[in-house]
Amino acid sequence: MFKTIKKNPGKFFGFSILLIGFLLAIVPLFYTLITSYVQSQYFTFFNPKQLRIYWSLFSQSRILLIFGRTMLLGVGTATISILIGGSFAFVFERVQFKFAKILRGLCLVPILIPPYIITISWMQMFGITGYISKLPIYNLFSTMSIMGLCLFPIVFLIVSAGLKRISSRVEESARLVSGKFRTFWKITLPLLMPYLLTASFFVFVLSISEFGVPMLLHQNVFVSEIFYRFGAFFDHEAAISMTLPLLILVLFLIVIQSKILGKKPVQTINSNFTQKKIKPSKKAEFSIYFFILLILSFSFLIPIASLFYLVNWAGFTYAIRTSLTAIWNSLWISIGGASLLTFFGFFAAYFLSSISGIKKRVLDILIMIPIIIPSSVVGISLIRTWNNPSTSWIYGSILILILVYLTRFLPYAIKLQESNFTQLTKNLEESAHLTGTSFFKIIKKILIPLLFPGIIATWAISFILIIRELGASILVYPPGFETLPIRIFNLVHYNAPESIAALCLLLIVIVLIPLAFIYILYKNQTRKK
Amino acid sequence: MTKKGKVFSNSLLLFSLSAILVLVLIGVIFSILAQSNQVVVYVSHDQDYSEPILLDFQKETGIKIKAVYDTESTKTTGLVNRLIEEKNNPQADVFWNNEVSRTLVLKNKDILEPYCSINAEGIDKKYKDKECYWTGFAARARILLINTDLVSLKDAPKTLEELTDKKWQNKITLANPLFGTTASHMSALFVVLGKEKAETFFKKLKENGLIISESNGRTRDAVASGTIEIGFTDTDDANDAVVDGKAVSVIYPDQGKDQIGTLIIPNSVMLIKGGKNKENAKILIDYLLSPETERKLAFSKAAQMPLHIGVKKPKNVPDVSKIKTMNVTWQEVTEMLPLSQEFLMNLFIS
Repeated sequence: MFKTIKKNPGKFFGFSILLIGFLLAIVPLFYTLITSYVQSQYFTFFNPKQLRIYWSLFSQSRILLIFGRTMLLGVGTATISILIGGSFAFVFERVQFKFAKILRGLCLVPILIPPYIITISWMQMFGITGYISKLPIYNLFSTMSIMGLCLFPIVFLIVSAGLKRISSRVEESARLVSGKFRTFWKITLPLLMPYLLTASFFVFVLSISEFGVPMLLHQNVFVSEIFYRFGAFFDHEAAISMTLPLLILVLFLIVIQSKILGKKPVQTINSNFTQKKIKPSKKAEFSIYFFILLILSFSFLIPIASLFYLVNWAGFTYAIRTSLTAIWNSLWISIGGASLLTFFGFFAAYFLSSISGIKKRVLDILIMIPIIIPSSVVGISLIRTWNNPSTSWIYGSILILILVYLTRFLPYAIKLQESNFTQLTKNLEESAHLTGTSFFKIIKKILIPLLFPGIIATWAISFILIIRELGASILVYPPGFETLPIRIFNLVHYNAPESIAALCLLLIVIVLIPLAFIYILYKNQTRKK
Repeated sequence: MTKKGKVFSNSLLLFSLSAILVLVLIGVIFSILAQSNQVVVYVSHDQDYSEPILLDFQKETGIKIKAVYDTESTKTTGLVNRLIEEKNNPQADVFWNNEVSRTLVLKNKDILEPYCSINAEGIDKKYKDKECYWTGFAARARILLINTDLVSLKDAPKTLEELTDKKWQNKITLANPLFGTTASHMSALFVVLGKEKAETFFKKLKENGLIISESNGRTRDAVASGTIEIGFTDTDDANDAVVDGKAVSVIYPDQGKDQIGTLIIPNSVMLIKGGKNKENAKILIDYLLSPETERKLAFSKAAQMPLHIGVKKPKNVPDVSKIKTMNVTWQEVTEMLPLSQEFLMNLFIS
C-alpha cells in the first residue's frame, strides 16, 4: 500500500492529510471509548458477570422505548427532509421560473439557523407560555417536523449537486423513448441514489444526535439519556459507554451505504452542458411558488418574523454591546476552521476516492465514527487527551477549539467532497499525470475548477456547523475566549424573550456575511469559466 | 517518483513542518501569556451579574480575570464536569458556583483545596464548610411564585403539601428536577421528608398534573404570563418578574411552626486544588466573600440575600435570618441527590 502511495505524490499527500486528521480527531475518541470500555462497570464483553449487567441495562423497557423513539425521530426527520429537499432540488434544477435565484438562496437559510432557535421561536408562539395560543407541540411529530424543516437544505444542496452532474444526454436519450415520469423513475432517480443516500444518512445521523430540539419539546431520546448520565449524575464512564448502541447503529448504516454506493456506476461530468429546463404553465408556476413559500414559512419565515416581533431596540443594542468580543471570536475561528476542514476534507476525499475494496470500507467506517459521538463525549475525550502538562499549550489555547471542529466535523468535510470525487472521471487526471503535469497543477487546473461548487458547499457547511457548535466547545473553550453560541447559551438561560430574539437574529446575520462573500466569489469564478 | 513529484513532496513536507511550527509558536505564545498576573475563574453564576463584579476586582487589584462562564440550566454539561475531567491538570484557580450540592460533588472527588478566608468569619457556619473547602455567600431561596390575577393571596398555598390538593390540578409547574437548584431542592425534600414520604408526595404531584418546564426562568415566565397559576422557582428568577411589574407574588413555603421551612441556597466559592495562580485565587475568594460584594449582588437584579450581618440591601430583598430555613445539611442533600434524581427521572422523564 505504502509503495503504491509513494509512486503518486497526490495519493501520498492525501494519505498524509488523512493520517493527520485521523490522529488528531479519531484516535482521542478511540482512546476514550476503549478506556471507558475497559473500566466501565457496564461493559466488559468477555466477562459473563459484566455481560449480565450490560444486558440488564439495555434490556430495560425504558431504555428500549427511548431507543425506539430515537429511531422514529431519525427516520421521520430523514423522510421529511428528503421529501422537501429532494422536491426543491428537482424544481430548481429542472424547472424554469422567475425569482428562482432569490428563492434558491432563501431555501438555504433554514440550515443557517440552529434548530433550537427555531424551536424556541415556535414555543414562544405556541408553547406553554405561547403568546399566540397554546397548541400540543410537545410531541415527537413536532420534533421531527421542526428537525426536517431545519435540515432539508442539506438534502437540497446534495441532491442539487447530483442533478447538476447527471449527464444530460442520458436523460435526453431516455426521454426520446419514454415519458418524463418513467425517465425520472428509471434514469434520474437511480443516478441520484448516491446523493439521496448520502443526504438521508447525514440527516438521520444529525437528527438522532440532536439534543436541543427533543429536550425543548420534552422528547426523551437516547442522546438526552446520555446527557442525563453525564450532566445530572456526573457518571462519565456510563455516559461514554451508552454511546455504544448509537455507534453500532451508525456503523451498520455506513456499511450498508458503502455497499450500495459501491455498486453504482460512475457518471462523467458534462461541464459544457447547460441543462434545458422545463417551462411550466402559469398554474404550475403558481403552485411552485405556493409550495416553496409554504415550506419556507414554516421552516424559518414565521419563526424569524416572531423573533422580529419580540425584539426591541434596547434588547438589540444590549445583545450587540455585550457580545462584540464573542462575535469577533466566532467569526474568525469559524472562517479559519472551515478553511482547514475544507483543506483536510479535500485531500482526504481525494485519497479515499483513489482506493477501493476492504481498505476503503474500513477507512470509511473509521472516519464516520465521530459523527455519532455526542458532543459532550467529544469534549471529555479532548480533555482526556490534551489536558496534560506537556500539551497544556494546546489545551489552554484556541487550538483546542480547532481540534473540536476537526473531531466533530471532519467526516462531513470528507464525505461531502468524496461524493464529488466519486462522480469525477479519473481519465482527465490520469491523462494530465501521464503528460508529466504536477499534482499541484492537476489540482489547480482540473480538480478545483471541476469540483468548485462542491468545495464551496463544503466550506459553507463547515462554517455553519462551526459557528453554531456549542456542546463540545463549552467544555473546553479556553478562559477568556468565548464564542457566540456560548454567549447566547449563557444569556438564554435567564434573559427575556426580546434578548433571545435579538441574539438569534444577530447570529443569523453573522452567518450570512461570509456566506454572501463566498457567493460573490463563486459567481466570479463561474463567470470566468 | 518523478522529479516534479519529488520536488512537490519536498515542498509539501516543508509546508507541513512550517504549519506545525506556526501552531507550536501560537501555543507557546499563549502559554507565556497565561503565566502573567492573572486568575482563572470558572463561574456558574449568571454572567450578567457576576461579570461586573469580576471586572471591578480586576480594576481594583490589577489582577487579570480570565473567566469561563456557564449556567446550571438543563443544557449545561459544563463547568462541574469540566472541573472533574481537568482534575489531573487543573486549569481553573477558583470556582464560583451558584449553589452548593455540586460543590460537594467536587469536594468528594478531591478537586478542592481548603482555604479559610478572613471574610468568611462573618458568615453563619451552616453556609460554609467547617474544613474551609467552600464558603457560601449571597443566597437565594426556593419559593413558590403565584400569579395574583389567577390566585388570590388568601387562597394561595402556604405549604408544599397543599399542592397535592385537587384544586391545584394542572396549575403547577416545576423546572426539570434533574438539574440545577431544582434538583438540590428535590433532594432536600427527600432528606427532610424521608424517602417514602417524599416519593408519595411526588407521585401525588404527578397525579395532580404537575407540568415540567425547561428551567426556572421558563417557570417564572409561565406564571408571570398567566399561563400557569403556580411555579416552583428561585428568588432571583422571581425578582425579574416582580421588577418587571408582573402580577406575581412570592411565597416562602412552610413557614409555620411545625413546618419544614424554605430551602436557602447560597452561592459558593472554592479554591481548586493544583491551580496555577493560588495567591491570586485567594485574593479573589476574599473579594467575593466581602460584605461589599454581597451588597452589590443584593442591589443587582439577582436580588440575592446577604449572609453577612448588617449589609445594606434593598427592601425587596428579605433578611435571611427572618426566614424559617429547611433543616438539612448540604452533605445530606448531596448524598441524597443520586437517589432522588433516579426516582424523579423515572417518574417524570419517560
